[in-house]
Amino acid sequence: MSGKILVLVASLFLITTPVLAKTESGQLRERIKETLSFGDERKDEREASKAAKLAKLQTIKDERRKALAEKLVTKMCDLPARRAEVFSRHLQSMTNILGRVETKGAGDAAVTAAVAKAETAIADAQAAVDAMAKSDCVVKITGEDEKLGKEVSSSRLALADQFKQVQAKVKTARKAVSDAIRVLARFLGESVPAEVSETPKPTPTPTL
Amino acid sequence: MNKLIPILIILGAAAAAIVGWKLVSTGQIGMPVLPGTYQATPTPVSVAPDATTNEMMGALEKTVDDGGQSDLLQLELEAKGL
Repeated sequence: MSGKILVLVASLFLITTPVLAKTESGQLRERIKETLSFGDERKDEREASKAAKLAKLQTIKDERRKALAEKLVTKMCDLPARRAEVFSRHLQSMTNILGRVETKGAGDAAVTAAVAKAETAIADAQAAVDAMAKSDCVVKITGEDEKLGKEVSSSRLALADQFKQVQAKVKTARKAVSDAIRVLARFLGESVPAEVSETPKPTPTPTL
Repeated sequence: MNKLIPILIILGAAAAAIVGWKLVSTGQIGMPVLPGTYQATPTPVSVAPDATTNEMMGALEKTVDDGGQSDLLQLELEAKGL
């Protein structure tokens, strides 16, 4: 009897171990990806700037408020670099797509002109993205308790404005690539696809 | 044999609880795993050499996002606690 129980326990252990190992390796991959995405030459400067802003929060007496403010300041200082990474990946995708347009439309003046226009727009957007990635943390904190809420709020609005300006350039680049694809479709005699969306399409909620 | 059944049930429940807890705590089921509250970084898309213009536009559509609005909204919600 005890032998059977031992076999059963061993079987259960063997079944569960691979599942647990898989979740640990998944977490590690996420962590590595997160670390890599922060890597650039101005990381140290940004970290120092963030540390200086966090130091100002040490005067806040309420520990709960202080902890929350530290969390928010950290996020606001980290977000531009992360957002820049996302925008850069999108611009990389646009460049890949535009390469295909250029190849398939080689020799056609209209396609060549549309591709050149899109290339300029992508370069312009990438410059804006790079500037955002290298920019100093927009957070302005004095460390005065009564001003904390307003300062965090205005810092968040400054961040939103920074994102909006760069996004506008990325949108212009995307529209230019969309135009180039449509010009190519006319050249190839394919049905002209609808223009690319301005905003993300809503994801349908699954119904049970 | 009769004594074995309760032991099996207990062991099975314990194993299921361990696996379930790990899956939920690592975000593989239930809440999505995101680094902090940030949006996940996308993988660049590419198109096949023989792709149609419709397929190219489909690939371009994948580059459309909210420009960081969801991250900013998350910040706004958290800042209400100040």
